[in-house]
Amino acid sequence: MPLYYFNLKDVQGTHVDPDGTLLRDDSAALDHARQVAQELMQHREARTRSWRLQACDADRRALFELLFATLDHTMNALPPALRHDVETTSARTAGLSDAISNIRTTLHQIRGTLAKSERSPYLAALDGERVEP
Amino acid sequence: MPVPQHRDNRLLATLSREALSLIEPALNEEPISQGTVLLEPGEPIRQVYFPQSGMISLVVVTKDGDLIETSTIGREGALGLHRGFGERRSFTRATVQIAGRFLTIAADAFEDIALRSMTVREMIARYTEVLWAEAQQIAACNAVHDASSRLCRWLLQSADRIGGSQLPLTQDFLAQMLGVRRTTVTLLAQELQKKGAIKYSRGRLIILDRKTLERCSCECYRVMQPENLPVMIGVARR
Repeated sequence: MPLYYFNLKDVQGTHVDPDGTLLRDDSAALDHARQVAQELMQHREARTRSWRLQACDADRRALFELLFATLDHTMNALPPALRHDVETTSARTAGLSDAISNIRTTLHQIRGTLAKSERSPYLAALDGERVEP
Repeated sequence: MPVPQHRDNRLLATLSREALSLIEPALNEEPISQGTVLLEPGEPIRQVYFPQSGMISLVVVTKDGDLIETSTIGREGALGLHRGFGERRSFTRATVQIAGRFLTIAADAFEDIALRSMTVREMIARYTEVLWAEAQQIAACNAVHDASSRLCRWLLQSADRIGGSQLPLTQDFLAQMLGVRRTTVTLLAQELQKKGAIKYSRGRLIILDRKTLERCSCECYRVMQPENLPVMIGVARR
């Protein structure tokens, strides 16, 4: 059975799944991702609508991402247009989180480059990954 | 052979000297390893266990084989204590989740002692009330609190039960206790690691920062502190 990794992306960055899970195929991975996302958001739906669960294959290549807002059953009673607006806003918030995370990485890279030019030691990591200047 | 010491079990430590003198001669001490099932649902209670270290978890087993945690017992309590009131069967499965040393007493001998000692009967009644109060709180917690705050509550309670900050627990076990998938526990543990609250590697979880865990936990942890349970007041002051 193939190995899948499920990373959580929230406002703080990405929480990397270090272990992975063996699942039958991509369809089973999608089911698993849905269930995990629902468990992560249960009873704190309003706070987690912009979070995403990213599924990756055994080589850690991204396969798909689930936006929590699209799975939020507490919004089932909302008029479709309003639900759509909430989902869109959540997706934009998620995009903003990604942009902030990218800026943070770029800043670390710039600091690394400056340190390298001054022949000073510099070591930084984000989300468990070493940031290369 | 040295007589096992009761002082590591906080429940026995609350007993009067007179009550202890009845119990101590009948106590045996044994180490019990992780994963040992002490009782299955419906099984008669043949021994009472007083943990000196380690932890027992009580779970309800559903028809589908799913497990739902109802309570945990560490050195603050005992397993099978209500057997002192007569023959009883276990309602839950009791499993040793963290290996440790346990004082045991044969159920019949314990029943005899309970018949002779009002203090022991009072201890049984009060501790049964504590377990009942905890089970109610955990039921409410499982129903309304998110998995992250329940995990924090669970880790803090387990650390209190064993009196240490190192918990030899697998993520599979934690997932079972919280009723979620292992991936969910992995990601929640990653989140707590990033906050510097815990360190997790190879089946060993270490609590690094209790304050952060307490902040992230639901109110159930505070509510279930022994000093906050009204039924414990009489015992705690003894």
